[in-house]
Amino acid sequence: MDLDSIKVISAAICMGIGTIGTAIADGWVASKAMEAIGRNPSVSDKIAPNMIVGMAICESTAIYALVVSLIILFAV
Amino acid sequence: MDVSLPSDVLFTLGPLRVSNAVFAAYAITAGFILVALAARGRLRVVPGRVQAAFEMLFDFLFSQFARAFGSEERARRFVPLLMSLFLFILVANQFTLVPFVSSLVAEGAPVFRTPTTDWSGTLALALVTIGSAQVLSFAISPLGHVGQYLRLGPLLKARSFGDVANGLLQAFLGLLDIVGELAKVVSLSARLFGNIFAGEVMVAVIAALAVWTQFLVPMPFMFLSIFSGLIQAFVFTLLATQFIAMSVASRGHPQEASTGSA
Repeated sequence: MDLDSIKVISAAICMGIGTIGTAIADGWVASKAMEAIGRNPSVSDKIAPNMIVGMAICESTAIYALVVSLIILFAV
Repeated sequence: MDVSLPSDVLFTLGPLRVSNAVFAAYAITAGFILVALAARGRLRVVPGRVQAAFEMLFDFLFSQFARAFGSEERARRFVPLLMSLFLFILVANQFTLVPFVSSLVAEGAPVFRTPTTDWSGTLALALVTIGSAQVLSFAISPLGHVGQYLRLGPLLKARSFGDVANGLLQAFLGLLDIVGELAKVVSLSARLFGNIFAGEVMVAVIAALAVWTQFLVPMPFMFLSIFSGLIQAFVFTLLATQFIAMSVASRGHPQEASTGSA
């Protein structure tokens, strides 16, 4: 294999494995928030921003993977 | 498809290399100053439409700040920093959506580039945020702030072998907190950079797939990147609020200051 194909494959592996946990966590956060809104719909406008912030924090691992794979693809 | 991670240098001002991302940031800042000067004389007690929209935005964000800081007076002191962070990131993320801005080219390089797609830009924002949190914490209680990282207290008070082991563990955890602060900078900047840059790359990839995907097909992806730009501006501001509020609230009892999220 030449270097370019190794780069592409490693970026793909990095993204693929790095996003598994994030996907689970995002779904978990959303389902818990929906559950809470379902129990008490009047606080939904307080839960929604917190849910978005929580999701963004969960997503940071995937973003690290993304940044790493972007660096592999375009900068290394 | 041309995707470049570093931004292109437009010109140099002495030792400063002004890249297109920095130039766009200057343009946005100049626009803000102009809007602020123009709006200064026109504020009314009974707001017009634009003023009402800004007041709604301010009220929403200020309620978040007040909740994080615990009191409105304390939150009011940090509004200038946090609001300008929010407004700057909000406008910067959508900056290249302005018509003709992204098609201006000088000497082979685009004149404007979304400031948040350059890691240096987001790193600067994150360093300002975390740096101000550190400086504030140090100004409020210097000994408590240093003691948060150099936890020698339990080690000096040790009476038995178990206490020594515990003290060593505490000292090590304190050193880990220094790494945690650096990780905050990296995570705060990488989150914003990754989201916005990925949005642009995704649109570029879709547009480069085939001839017929250059029109209309990238639109849902552009919508997605606009949405994530809005969300990330909000998230960056809220996380900055949390970090600063944590360092302000940890006055007196530094041990209770939690190290926060990733």
